[in-house]
Amino acid sequence: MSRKPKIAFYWCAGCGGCEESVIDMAEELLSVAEKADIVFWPIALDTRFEDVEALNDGDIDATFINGAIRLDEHVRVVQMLRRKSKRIIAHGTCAHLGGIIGLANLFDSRQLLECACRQVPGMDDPSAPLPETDPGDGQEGPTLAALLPEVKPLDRVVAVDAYIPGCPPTPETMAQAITDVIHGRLPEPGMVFAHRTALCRQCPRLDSKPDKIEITRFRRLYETHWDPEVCFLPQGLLCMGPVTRGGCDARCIRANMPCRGCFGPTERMNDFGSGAMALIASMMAGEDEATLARLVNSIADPTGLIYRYSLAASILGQGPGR
Amino acid sequence: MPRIGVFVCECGPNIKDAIDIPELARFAGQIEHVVHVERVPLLCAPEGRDRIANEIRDHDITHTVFAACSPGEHEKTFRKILEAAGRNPFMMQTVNIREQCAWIIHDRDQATAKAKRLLRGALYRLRHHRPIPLRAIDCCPDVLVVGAGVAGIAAARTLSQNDRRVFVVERSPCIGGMAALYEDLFPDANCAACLLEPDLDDVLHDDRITVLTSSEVLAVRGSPGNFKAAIKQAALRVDPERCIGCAACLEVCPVQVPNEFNAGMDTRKAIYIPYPGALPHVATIDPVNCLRCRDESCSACQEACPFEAIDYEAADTVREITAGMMVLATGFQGFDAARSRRYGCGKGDNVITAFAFERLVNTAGPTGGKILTADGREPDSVAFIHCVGSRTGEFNPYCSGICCMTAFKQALQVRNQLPTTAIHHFYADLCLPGKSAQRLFDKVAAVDGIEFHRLDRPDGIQIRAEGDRICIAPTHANGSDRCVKIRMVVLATAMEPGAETAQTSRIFDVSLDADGFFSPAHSVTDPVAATREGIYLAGCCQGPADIPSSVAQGQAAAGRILQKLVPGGKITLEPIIAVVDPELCSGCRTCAALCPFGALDMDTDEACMAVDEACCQGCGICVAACPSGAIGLRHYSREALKGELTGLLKSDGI
Amino acid sequence: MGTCKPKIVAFLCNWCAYDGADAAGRARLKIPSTVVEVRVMCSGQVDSGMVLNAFEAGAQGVMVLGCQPGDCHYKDGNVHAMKRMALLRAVLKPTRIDPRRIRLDWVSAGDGKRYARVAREMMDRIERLGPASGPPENEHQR
Repeated sequence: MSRKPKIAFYWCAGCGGCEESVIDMAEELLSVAEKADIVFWPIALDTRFEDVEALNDGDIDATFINGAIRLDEHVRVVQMLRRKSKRIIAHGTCAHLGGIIGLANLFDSRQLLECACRQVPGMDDPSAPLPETDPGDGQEGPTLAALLPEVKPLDRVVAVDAYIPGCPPTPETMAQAITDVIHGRLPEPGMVFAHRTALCRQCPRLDSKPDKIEITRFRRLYETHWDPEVCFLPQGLLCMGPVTRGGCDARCIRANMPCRGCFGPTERMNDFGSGAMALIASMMAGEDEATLARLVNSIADPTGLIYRYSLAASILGQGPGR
Repeated sequence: MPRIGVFVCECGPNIKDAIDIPELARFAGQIEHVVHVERVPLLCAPEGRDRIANEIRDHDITHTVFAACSPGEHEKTFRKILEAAGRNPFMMQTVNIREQCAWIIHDRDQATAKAKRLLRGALYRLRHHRPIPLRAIDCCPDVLVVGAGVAGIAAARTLSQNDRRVFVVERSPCIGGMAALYEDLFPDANCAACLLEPDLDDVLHDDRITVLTSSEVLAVRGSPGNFKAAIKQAALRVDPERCIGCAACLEVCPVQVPNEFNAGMDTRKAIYIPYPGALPHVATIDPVNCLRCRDESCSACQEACPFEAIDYEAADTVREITAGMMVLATGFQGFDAARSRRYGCGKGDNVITAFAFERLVNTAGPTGGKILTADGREPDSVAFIHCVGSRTGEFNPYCSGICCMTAFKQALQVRNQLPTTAIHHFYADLCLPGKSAQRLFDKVAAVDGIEFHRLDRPDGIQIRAEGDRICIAPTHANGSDRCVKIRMVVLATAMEPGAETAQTSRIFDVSLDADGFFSPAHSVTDPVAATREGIYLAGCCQGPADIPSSVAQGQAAAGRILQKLVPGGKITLEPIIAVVDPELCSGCRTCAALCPFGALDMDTDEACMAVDEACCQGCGICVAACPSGAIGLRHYSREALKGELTGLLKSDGI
Repeated sequence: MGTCKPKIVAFLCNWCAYDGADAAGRARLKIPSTVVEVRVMCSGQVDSGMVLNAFEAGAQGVMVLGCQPGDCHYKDGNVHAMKRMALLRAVLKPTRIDPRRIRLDWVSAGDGKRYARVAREMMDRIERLGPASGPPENEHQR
């Protein structure tokens, strides 16, 4: 007797875009719901933590988790889901690498709360209360989850079996992965749903990338009219294509925007930033300290630019800021 | 499963007294995969070496650590031990516990602690070592020499041997370069033709040397041991096999153009022999000025030729030759003084370059060797201007090294021919290096009627024509002018890179230095090698040089080649090289332009980069540049270096 | 570890800096014992990833030492090192690793005195900066 496969979805600290790429299955979702038991999906179904906890360990065939680990609550839930699941599939860049949310690791929690609750425009009261985890003064009542000291990608908290990169992943990939699971084809441990090679391989502008690129000043998009047929890099615009895994069909390039690196680094580079720095340094024109310093200064926020999606996964992003 | 053997050298008292070796050995023994730890009194001692090879075999050791002196001292020795033990020489790591440990840390506990770290770093690294094959390729023993001036000729003659062919490619119709156009050479006023001609004759009559005049290299591909050069030879409308240089054709040619071999001081015909004594002594047709080549009707030379040597239908030919190595000896050009307004060039016919003066005094020159002004009279005064285009930020910041000597040589030539002519030298400083220059200067300074004028800077001078005189005014800091009126002015012009140097550097993929000359691989330790493996430099194409230096460099370049390119021999390739993983390379080509040795090229079939194993020197620049980590450096993989760092820095156990 | 001196990694290029360090040894100069040397072929082989790996493994400071500009055995490897380190330092500015913990410098072959001075200066600087905040332990459980 074949049983219906069980799947689950959970979101940690995310924007909802990854959930969106599941919802984008549209009518096919009905078929998924028919063929599989969705035992947990907070954004869409009225499923409960306790019911999932009551399952046997390993009962869930695959759980798809997106969003970065930001709160102690996230840890609690994903650890439970790990016990109950044969496969944990991290989807979306936040679960994969910490995502944009990982940039919070440049600050400590106090600074973040100060900024969000007291320094926002429109906030009059500089001593407005900051969120606390419990009501305080020994009172009973609901509690709030606590910010962890730093953001983490999912695999720093639980073992992850497969990754679907992208911010968000392409709806086609999500659909494929979910369909595979409900037909009994679980991903092999360690699998990454992306190309092994960097994006340049599938970029329509590759032929216009010259061998020698010497940039005297890097530019931001708003500063220049760029040629929509030609590789961004010789035009002084920082495209992360050579650093980033392919598999997205170069969507952003086809929309005339440079790649920002959301698919993360290739398997040999465990730090996206080091690949990005290799790329940028190779294009810098100049041989003396002063010229190179000026050139580097022409990049606004280099840290944010190259670690936009992956700071939490980098060794730079671990630990509170100075 | 690796089986690691650790050999710790006591190095006499050097290491033994500074480090607690028994403790180090104990520490090593408890690290994973270590099966054998041994203290050796002196690892480099010949008796020790065979014994250790046996130990390695007896204990089935697969990976070996030698904790001893610097790898700079004995890494090669240790590799030989491994080979003697039948192991690949790269399955080892040297740990420097002497120069970088025992000798710099004077506290025994601290030194031992660091030795443990270094050792553990090596042990963790070693797990990632892989055997590296030593490869050798067949090489073509032939050599291509580009340029037939004194440097190229010296190289060709030194290289000429049985079992090897030498190809000499020369742009102009004759060999000998600039030196063949001089009359006397400094310092001793040797006759240039007398010195050069025997060597040029040797080259032309040597069956093992093929000289291609009126030729240029169009393209180069391949790698050291196996270069392929496409060489174009201009149409030989005068058949060099039939022409005996009788010059009958010259007489009847109706075209006259300025003669570049005499600095434009006289004219030549469109069919010409470059200069009397030019070798090979055959006529050439200048296709730019020849009427027939411009589709106008004229057959004067063909009709006049007694040997039917002229064929107007001859065409350019392109041939490909294979050479194991190549020498660039393409020479220099003189600074064009018309680029500066200081020197009165173009304004007076009696302002000439040092080269033009060479032709004036040459018995085979436009005046039969007589020093005459443009209107055919002996000058009563001659001025030599030093540093024209040299030592100035405006043109060339360097000193050209030979122009002062040339000016003094020429001053003596003036004095020998014209006993009463006033001679002037205008200079800021004098360049008198080596054994002979000071003596030559002293000789000149002792001659009557020579005046020296010191300028405040190398180009602190203004020259202008005034009637039939030339007015020379040194500019002094206080702005006052003192004009000297002279009949003939000779400009000691700078030596600059030849006009085609930039294009040649692209064809051969060698680097230029900041002044536009070919750059040596290393200015101190590798001065005759170009930046590309298998290509060598000789003569003025790499910087101003006198004739003895150019000859020496030609011979040195030949020496380097003879060492590496043995006929029937093989070239051993550098084993530590970059390797591209074709499954990871995205074809982004970020690496391509960064390689100093041109070793990276796109493999169009695979759509990924490929490393030319004959050219790669293993610097790792491309490895660090690859944004997707698709290139690795053999023996220095990311895993190996990460392992080493972990072993060095881990807190526990020390 | 207690009051141990901070650990500093020195990446030394095979042709110049490594021999410079050896020369310090030949002259019996004192070098702080927690400086550990890693031999690389060229300073141009060192990328930011390698430097970050060193910090991850527990280094408090990293030196990348190569040949003087113009002397690089591989022509311009040291220029590439300059570009990479300039960029890395800018990227590190807002992070937990103070860019002053990285030093790129030149040590000629045989210049033991210079190596000793650079090593001592670096140790002084790292001691003044204090310990770098390290990565917390992972909470990964299966």
